[in-house]
Amino acid sequence: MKKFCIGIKKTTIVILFSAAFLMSSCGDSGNEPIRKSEFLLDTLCSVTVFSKEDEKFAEGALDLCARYDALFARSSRDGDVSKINEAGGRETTVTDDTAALLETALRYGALSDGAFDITIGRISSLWDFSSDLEARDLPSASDIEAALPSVNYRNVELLGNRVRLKDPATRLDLGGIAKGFIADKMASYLAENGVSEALIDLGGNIVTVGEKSDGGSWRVGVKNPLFAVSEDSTSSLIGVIEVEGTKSVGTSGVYERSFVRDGTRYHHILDPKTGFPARTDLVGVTVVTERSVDGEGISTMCVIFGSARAQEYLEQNGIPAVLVKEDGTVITTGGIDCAMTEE
Amino acid sequence: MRKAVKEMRIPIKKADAILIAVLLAVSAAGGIVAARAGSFESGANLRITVGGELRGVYPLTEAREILVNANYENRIVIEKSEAGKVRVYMRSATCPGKDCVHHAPIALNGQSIICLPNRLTAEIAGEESDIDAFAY
Repeated sequence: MKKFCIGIKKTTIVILFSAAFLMSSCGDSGNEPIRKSEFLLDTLCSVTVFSKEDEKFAEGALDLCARYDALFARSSRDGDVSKINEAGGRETTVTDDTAALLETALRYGALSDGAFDITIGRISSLWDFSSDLEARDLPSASDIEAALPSVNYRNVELLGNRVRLKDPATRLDLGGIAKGFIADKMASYLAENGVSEALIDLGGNIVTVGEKSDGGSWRVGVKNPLFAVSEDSTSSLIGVIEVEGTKSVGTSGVYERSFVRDGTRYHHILDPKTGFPARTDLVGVTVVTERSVDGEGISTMCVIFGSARAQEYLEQNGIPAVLVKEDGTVITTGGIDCAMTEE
Repeated sequence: MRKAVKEMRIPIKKADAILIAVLLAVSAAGGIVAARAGSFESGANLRITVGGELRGVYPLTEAREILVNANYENRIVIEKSEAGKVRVYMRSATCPGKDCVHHAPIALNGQSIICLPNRLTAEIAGEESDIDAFAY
């Protein structure tokens, strides 16, 4: 066969093959996100992994989420919370996980002097934001008055795995903290199975897992809670928080489940002292914590506290947080670097 | 002083040369397609799913109202300002609770609105983003 020669430089060969390799691989880097989602915990829950081998663990993490949902939801008849609530003041034996979650939740009850209180179940039932509350009568003041004495975290007696409600009328509602606990368990599950890079998103409660493979930071956008209602609010984001490794970025806000009637906004963060939606000058609190369960407890507690007390608490404890007031003022604490965006 | 580059001569069969040319052409074409897929303007598309099944993909380049019927009815609006800014919101829904209607408008890639009773998700997708997740 006839051969022919072309003049070619060695470096040119290297460049040509490098270019060919890069061009053919840029459409499929191997780090394309794979996201799995399920409707759980009364919201959309998703887990994102970045390699095909980790896909089964994303599904496994959501299975875990579903199991915890059944354990902690008030509506789940076989769950631990239902068993405690229906025990009529008798002792109930619960799983290790339920006991651990209760212990943490009660700690936040004590820390906040009852501003965060998991015994708010009777009040939560009156304010059922998943029903068509906007179209029907609001809970009556007398019903709330009657339910308030059952709200007191000190009514929960926890001894190891044994739980008893000292007041049989008390009802637990772990909705304000269970999501964080579950997110932590999902993050541990992923790490234990060798997943080195993942994102957990439980209805806007974010947990980053591991380091990003590109060596950069995780970038979590903090949504502007006023974007929905303020005509002159042009930004959908307050800013972007950058975190490294496994961290929780959790938010509590008064706009996600709320409605306005006669000029008053009714939202789902209830004040255990009054039985009504918390009267607060904060519309959103986002905190960065090691554990998501702490993030949920702290952010909810701070919304109820209001800006002055919340800022004091967060600064004293060096907790990175972004607080958004109803007038649009943004306060940051704990040296957080929340870069403002122009979106 | 500029260093002299040594030139070497490599014998190449005609078929080899053609193969290299074809490979380069295919690789380049693949690269262009991939680049275009990630370079949408104005926030890419709105992907709507119900119960995990894709119901529609709508470009955000034009304003419109989308009616989705399943267990309940959702009216989703793609709104575009004179300045060209896009935002998407739920105008109305027949579901109980109406959390989806009270949800803040979305405007960035990766943001979504869900209607839990209707198992509906409306998500902005398709554009490259430097934000990994949204806390709210």
